[in-house]
Amino acid sequence: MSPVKRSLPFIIGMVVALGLSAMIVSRLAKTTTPPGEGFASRVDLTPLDEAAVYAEGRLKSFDSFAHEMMGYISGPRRINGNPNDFAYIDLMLRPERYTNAPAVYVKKKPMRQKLIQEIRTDLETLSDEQRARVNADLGRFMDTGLISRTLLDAPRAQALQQEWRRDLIRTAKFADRINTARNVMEPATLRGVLRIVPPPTGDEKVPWLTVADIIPAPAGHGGAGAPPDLAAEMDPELRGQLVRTWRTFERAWIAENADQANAALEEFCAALPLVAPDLYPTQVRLKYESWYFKLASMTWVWVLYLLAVAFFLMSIAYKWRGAHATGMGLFTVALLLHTGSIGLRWWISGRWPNSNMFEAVTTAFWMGAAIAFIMEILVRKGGMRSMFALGASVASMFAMMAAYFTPKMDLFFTLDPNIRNMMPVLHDIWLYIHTNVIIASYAIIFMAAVTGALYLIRRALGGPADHAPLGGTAALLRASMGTAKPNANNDSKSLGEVLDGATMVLIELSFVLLWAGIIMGAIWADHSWGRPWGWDPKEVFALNTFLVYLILVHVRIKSKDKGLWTAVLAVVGCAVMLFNWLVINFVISGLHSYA
Amino acid sequence: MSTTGQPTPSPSSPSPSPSSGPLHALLEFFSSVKLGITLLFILFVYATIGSAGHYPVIREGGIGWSMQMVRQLRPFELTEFEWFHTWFFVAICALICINLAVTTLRKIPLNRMKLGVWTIHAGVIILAVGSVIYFATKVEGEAPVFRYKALLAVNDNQPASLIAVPGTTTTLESPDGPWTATVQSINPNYQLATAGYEGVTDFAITLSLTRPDGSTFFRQLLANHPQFTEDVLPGKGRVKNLPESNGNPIYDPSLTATVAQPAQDTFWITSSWALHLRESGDDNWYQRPIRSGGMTGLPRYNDHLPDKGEVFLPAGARVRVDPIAVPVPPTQDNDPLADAQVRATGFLRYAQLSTRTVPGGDELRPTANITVTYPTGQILRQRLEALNPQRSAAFDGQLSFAWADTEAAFENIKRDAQPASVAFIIPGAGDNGDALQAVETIAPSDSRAGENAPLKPIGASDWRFRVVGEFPGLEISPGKIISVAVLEIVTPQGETIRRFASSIPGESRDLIGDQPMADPEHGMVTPNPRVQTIYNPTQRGEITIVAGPADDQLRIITRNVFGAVLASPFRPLELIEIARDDAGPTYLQVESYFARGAQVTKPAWIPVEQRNTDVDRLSLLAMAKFEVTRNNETISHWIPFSRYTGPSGDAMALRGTPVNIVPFTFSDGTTIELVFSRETRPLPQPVVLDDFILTTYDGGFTGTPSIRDWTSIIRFPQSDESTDAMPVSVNNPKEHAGLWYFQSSWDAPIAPSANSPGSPGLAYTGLGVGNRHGVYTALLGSILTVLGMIYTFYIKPILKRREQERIYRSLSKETLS
Repeated sequence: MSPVKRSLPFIIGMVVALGLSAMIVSRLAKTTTPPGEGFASRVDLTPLDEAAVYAEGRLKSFDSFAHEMMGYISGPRRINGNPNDFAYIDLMLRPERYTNAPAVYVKKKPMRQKLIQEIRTDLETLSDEQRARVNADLGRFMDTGLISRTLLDAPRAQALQQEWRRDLIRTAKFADRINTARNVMEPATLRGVLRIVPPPTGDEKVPWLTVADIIPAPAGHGGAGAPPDLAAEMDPELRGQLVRTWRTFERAWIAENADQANAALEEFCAALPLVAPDLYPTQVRLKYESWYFKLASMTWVWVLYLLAVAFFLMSIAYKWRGAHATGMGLFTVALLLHTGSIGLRWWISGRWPNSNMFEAVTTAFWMGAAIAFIMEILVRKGGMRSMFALGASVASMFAMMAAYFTPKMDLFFTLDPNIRNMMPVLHDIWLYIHTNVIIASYAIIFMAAVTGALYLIRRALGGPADHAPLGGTAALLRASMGTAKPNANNDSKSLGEVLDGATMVLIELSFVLLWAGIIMGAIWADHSWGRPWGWDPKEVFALNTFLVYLILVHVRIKSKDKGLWTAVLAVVGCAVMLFNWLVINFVISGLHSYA
Repeated sequence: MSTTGQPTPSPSSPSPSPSSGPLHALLEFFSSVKLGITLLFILFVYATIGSAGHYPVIREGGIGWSMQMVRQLRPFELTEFEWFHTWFFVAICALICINLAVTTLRKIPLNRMKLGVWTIHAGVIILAVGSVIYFATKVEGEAPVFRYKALLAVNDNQPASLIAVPGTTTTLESPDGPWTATVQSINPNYQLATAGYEGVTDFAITLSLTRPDGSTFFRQLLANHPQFTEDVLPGKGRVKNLPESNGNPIYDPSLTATVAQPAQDTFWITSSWALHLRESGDDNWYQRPIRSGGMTGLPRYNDHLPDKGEVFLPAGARVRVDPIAVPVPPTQDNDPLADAQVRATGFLRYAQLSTRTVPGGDELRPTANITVTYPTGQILRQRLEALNPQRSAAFDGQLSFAWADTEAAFENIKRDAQPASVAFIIPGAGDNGDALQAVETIAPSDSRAGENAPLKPIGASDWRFRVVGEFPGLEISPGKIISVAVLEIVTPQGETIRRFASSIPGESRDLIGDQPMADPEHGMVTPNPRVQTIYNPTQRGEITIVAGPADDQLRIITRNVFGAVLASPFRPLELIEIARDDAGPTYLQVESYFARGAQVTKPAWIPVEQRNTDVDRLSLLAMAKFEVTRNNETISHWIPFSRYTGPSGDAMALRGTPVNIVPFTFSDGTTIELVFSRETRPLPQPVVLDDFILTTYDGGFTGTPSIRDWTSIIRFPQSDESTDAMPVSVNNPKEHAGLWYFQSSWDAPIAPSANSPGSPGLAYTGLGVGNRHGVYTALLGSILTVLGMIYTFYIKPILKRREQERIYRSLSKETLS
């Protein structure tokens, strides 16, 4: 075979991969920012989106701030289909338009059902036409979870919320959430938290100001009892410009004069950094923060991982080199985008992203994918080719799907993409060492379970009870050193041997990483909480996960059917790991506070 | 780790040794990898049960809403920490270590290939030794350390001290009588205003002082600037600014007040129970630690009632009677109850002492437990007491309970139950051109229908009206309450007057235009003089239950839809239909009723769904019943749990953890005070808090998420080594005299409320205190295990491979030769 002919499947595969990626990415990146309608489509909030807002100890872009605040009101939904930035400003400036608008998100369907039941009994006093309208609203509420303030104020709905508040364990949180939503959507709240003007003193330890803070007190109100003028040190001309442009913006918005609103807002936002140029974050960072949230944190990259999985499976099943190349191409593009999203988040938040669940999950599986990529380079000629990329693709696909879908779903856990400050206890070098080692081991455990599961499927389909005779890294070394004579032709190994070998390579790696991670956690806990080990459920289940692998390595010594036991325990270990990550973190720790 | 088909002879295996017999069998038993796997599996199951084994306490819709852990079950009653310290767990761990050691020594040759396994196994044994040292000696607790206290004395009398937290109070002795001193407020960042001290901040304490004659003044103390101590007179301001003071800042020099640092010499042990006691009047507390958990200790998670009558139970709740008898023996010299037997005989995890009326006795306390059952099946329960104004009505006053000691009183109540009415005076509309006077009743049906109600004639005239709404009891200004009915009055000519008819003459208004409440200044005008109105709201809600005059006599007064007042007798448990809609009838039932009762104080058991998880986690509403037998006299009381004791406890009480002191008074007049709290231990040396620093992210403090770190600057004044202050912050603990000090909690600002005077916070720090013996041994073991793993997985294969290559080379050489 000529070199050209030999690399033809590779070239075709890569072209297919790039084409598919380009198509999908352009689609996904677009659908994540649907514009509003009417007035909403005519106003341009871009300058504001890229302005800095101070919230809870962090400076963030208005866009990401609005995203977070609207999350308290409408949850994952959009009010009237408008983007969050528009909804924030509109709720603040034209609250009367939202009295009857479905705006408050109620999370669980059974709770919606109960509210609907109560509101329906209140309908008797209404006219037929009114009743029909309310019934239609209630129908939509059941689907979307969004309900209007008017309906929440129906007497029976009020009584139900009162009753919810009395049951602290089952229902109080739903009533509290509705209350929070209603408080947040008050124009006074929205104005009060919109700290968008830097402190004119340039002191970084002083809270930022709201627009109301810089509006000078009317003449005659500056007496002894008056609140201090927080913007006294601001250049009067700049102050005047800010107040004037903001007022113009408000008036134009209320009058739905989009052109005037856009012009005033642009001028206002351009003047903001001048108040304290040293304090103001760079425009580039704010721009990318806004962009990052508009792209939904790029979690849609799971689609590419999914396609990569499909091609990898084809390449294994049909030994088709083109499919392998397409899979690798897709995997590489997905990994690059994944890397981009991690890197972007790192840069925006100013810290390595591993301090909440969203970051832990996306970062863990990014590390898994990166490790797999390196392994693929190492074994590119060997029989284990595409096994690691396949495992990583499946793992990252699930991780990014969790990040993409859970905020929109009613599950027991949610990965919240908002960027927040770290809790004081997390400021420690061990956060970076311990957490990353642990979550990397989790990603590899997941990958091992993928190859283990494939082995089990093969056995279930009647495959022979084979296993990699050397197991683990030994097999890998043999493949990479390449000088050995026996079994030099690796491609002649059975698929079972390859799967078992790959599983063992991954298990050995995760075994060491997990154990080392647990020890590092103990070191951190020792100087942070005063005890290296306290039998906390998270600690115990990390140890439990390790116990499964400990059992695995010893069973592999004693068992005759090594491949089967390895695969079974790899899957069990992954289940225990997921139990720790999801159930212990989100369910037991919550219960734990009761225990 | 014997592997099949490996020819390497094991050092101890084949040849028959003299030790064959029971010892040999035992060694063989412990040399099995299968045993190790089994033990690891048992450990896995045990750990899983301990950390994740739970069952639902409340289950609804297939979801367990509230869980109890298996380890918390009645026979166990174990904390997480204790579950992993049971004899069973220790035995499994010990067996694993023996198994590992024996197998390694007997079955794994110590050579280059097996070096990794040896290292791992040796590391595990060292780790186990370190863990045994660590867990066997572990002490864990916490100590609040306050920044300042005020030392106060009147003239040369006995001084008193007050910890600087808003609300602490004490009395000061003086020849003229007692003074009262209270910490009015604190300011941890008080800016000095004196010239030359610009930008200097200090901790300011403002004391409110009441002299024996009842007069009050304030004194402001600055912790580090005693020269600026000054008095303030209420309503007059700083004393030094008053003309009569001649610039002297002190109003009453008989009071001396200085600021000192309260040293904390005690810490409280986590998850412990103890009884603290003292003879009334004694300043010193003595403690008796109480064994906790397990079958014989004082429980933590399950209620143990000596008798069902011990608690108030909500209707339908069931609590098992399960008495305990946990001895609480003395452990300290001079224990004031050394001659008495103390036992804990009951425990409640979450309850509050409550005083209620129960049937019996001679006192008139008419009490009814009622239920309202809605068509949806929802049941609301209410306890009503006729003579207790706070508990005589329910459902926003729509249901009330009254006592009539005579028939005349009953008739009065019935009259009060008349429906609301409007009195109209229409000049010129009566017969012969006189003024028409008419009182029109507002039937409930009228007012409910609102704007859709039909117009009704006023008296016999051509005037008509309808009631759009009723607003009884509006507080329009402090203390001024009026009731308003919104009426539409239609004149004979067909004009409509929208009248806000007030219950107070002269307060009625008419509304012009269509904007009801939006623009009251312009829409509301003086009422049209063609018709005058007075609104008489009803004096009672829709339903009144009347008890009396006979003790067992009950009557119900209701209004029908037309406004007629109906009264009928009924008996307890009778179902009374009080409303009906499309969904069905709503019933009222008096479940139980008694006219005469007595007041009893008992723990009220709180249903699980009403429990606050944080309160529960800290056992803040736990209580235990203690029984003291002394000189053949037995006294028992329920004692609510107190998180802290002593002077620190008094100050912490103001931050939400009250100190509940329960006196036990014996017939010989001796009174012993008991506090049910946690075990305390002395700190090796007392600690003071020099400063507490809150570090924030950019933008300053705007709530918890803005906090970057907390730093306590602590110092051990009695230490020989040094008197240097040590900063303790999160992730940065400090060691002193064998104990480690951690930043654990802080004094967050509290807004003033009914229960708390509020505080700007930063008045104390919460330090975690603990020891950590054996951690370096454990660390050494851990490092060895990791090194061993790396060797086994990544170095051994390379070595093995090289060896193989060497063999192949020599083999091929042999073949060649």
